[in-house]
Amino acid sequence: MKMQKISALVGVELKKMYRDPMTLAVLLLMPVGLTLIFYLALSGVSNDYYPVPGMNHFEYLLPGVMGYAVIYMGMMVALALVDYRQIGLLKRVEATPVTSAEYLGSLIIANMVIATVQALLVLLVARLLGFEPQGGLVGLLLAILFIALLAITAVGLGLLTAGIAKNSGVASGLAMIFILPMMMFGAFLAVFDDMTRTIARFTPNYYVTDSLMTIFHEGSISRPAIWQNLLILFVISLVVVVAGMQLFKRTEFR
Amino acid sequence: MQTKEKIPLKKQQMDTGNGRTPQYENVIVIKDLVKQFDDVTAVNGLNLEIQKGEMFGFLGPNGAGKTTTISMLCGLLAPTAGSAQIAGFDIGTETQKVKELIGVCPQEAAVFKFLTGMENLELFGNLHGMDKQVLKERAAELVNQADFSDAAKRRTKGYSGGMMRQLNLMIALISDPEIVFLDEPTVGMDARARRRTWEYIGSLKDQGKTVILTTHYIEEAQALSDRVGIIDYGELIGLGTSAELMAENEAKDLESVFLNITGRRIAEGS
Repeated sequence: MKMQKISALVGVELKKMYRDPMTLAVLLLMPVGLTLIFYLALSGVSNDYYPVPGMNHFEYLLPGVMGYAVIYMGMMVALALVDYRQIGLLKRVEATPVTSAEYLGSLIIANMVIATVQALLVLLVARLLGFEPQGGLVGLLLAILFIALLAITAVGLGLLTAGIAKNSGVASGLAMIFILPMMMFGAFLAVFDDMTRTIARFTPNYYVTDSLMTIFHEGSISRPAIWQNLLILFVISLVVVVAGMQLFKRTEFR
Repeated sequence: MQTKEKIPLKKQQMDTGNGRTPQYENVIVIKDLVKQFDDVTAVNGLNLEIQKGEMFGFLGPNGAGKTTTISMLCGLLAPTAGSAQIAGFDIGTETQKVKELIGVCPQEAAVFKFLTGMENLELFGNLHGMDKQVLKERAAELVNQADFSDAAKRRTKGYSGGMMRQLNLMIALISDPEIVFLDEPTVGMDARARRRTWEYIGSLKDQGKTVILTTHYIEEAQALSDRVGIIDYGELIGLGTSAELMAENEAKDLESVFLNITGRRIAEGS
């Protein structure tokens, strides 16, 4: 595996993010915009249900927003791959001495970097708006680890979608099948009752939201539930990304 | 200094059957190559040898099997049966080695639209594992030769069709490959750009490169190619120099040969 090839491909994906207006809007501007909207709409709302006294609804939902930003990544990966396939770019890359592992590995690394930037940006904006995250540096690093694993899962879902979809219209539609439940249950609604929490357990970002809430709201990084969530998310990301790679390799790479 | 190890071309053991030393080295050897897509046979028992440094024109009507053959030779499609060697490396089992030796210019102008022309060149050079300095010099050389310096600084999104085709060709040549596959390289170019590209493709032969050129412009094949192969329904139905084919078919030019032998097959219902 050559680092030169991987770093070149990672560079391409990062350039795509900041040069393509749609990718930039979805991956960076939307999470920041959503944070601002949530602040304006929800910072005055509070509830006794919250674990920290005096916490407002914006602060309560913020960990969900951090994970929410990542789930759209799966759709962006799928759309990019379908586009590359349609214009013959994947075949062209495949005709070079790049292995499928190098190509797909670079895709994962690039999206882990983007997801980390997204999460830190949301956290920075929230901090400027008065949110005080608990957990210190270790808590922050642990949160980034959760986000990175969610990014791997998102890439896997993107590969699965691109492996099935023949064009970008189908890819967008298919992506909604995983985006909507993750958005509805994993990011924002999981907290309201036991039933939604049970449904939410089937969405990978639930484990991120749940853990980030514990870390940033309570400052606890030693609670067994966090490590259990980390293990579950690790298994989910592994299964989804391996399945996505296999399906995508079968349709694209020999 | 290029750090990428150049793979020496393996010597082909050409069996001439008469004990004489072969005059040329066969850099591409195709034996009974077959590609089947469900019930459609795209390539049907193709046998062909292409010599080192040869400019080989590959002609055929639409859907004749040209692109499928090239895709198999580039390691993009697995053959259903038969085998092929590129510089002695098997396309099925030594695909990575094959890919290190070749440059491919596909039919579609396949470039990253959010990158500049130069960034596209550098990316594909990096994917070939080229040394940074060598890559920089090679990219500058290609861009200057094509009078493309200003365009190379711009993102390809704003390129015209002809500029895309030029960049497409430059990307195929960035790694200075020994064997180049050009699949319809001048489609969509105006007459002037096409003529200039022909001259450039012609110069590749002077650089010692082996070029496999598929085209619908038969005059292009006649002007550039040392030998021409005509494929139809996945089978090679004509092979030789333009002069040989014209003499064989009592035709005044290669286009007449092409129409004659592909038309004859339609008339014969084969």
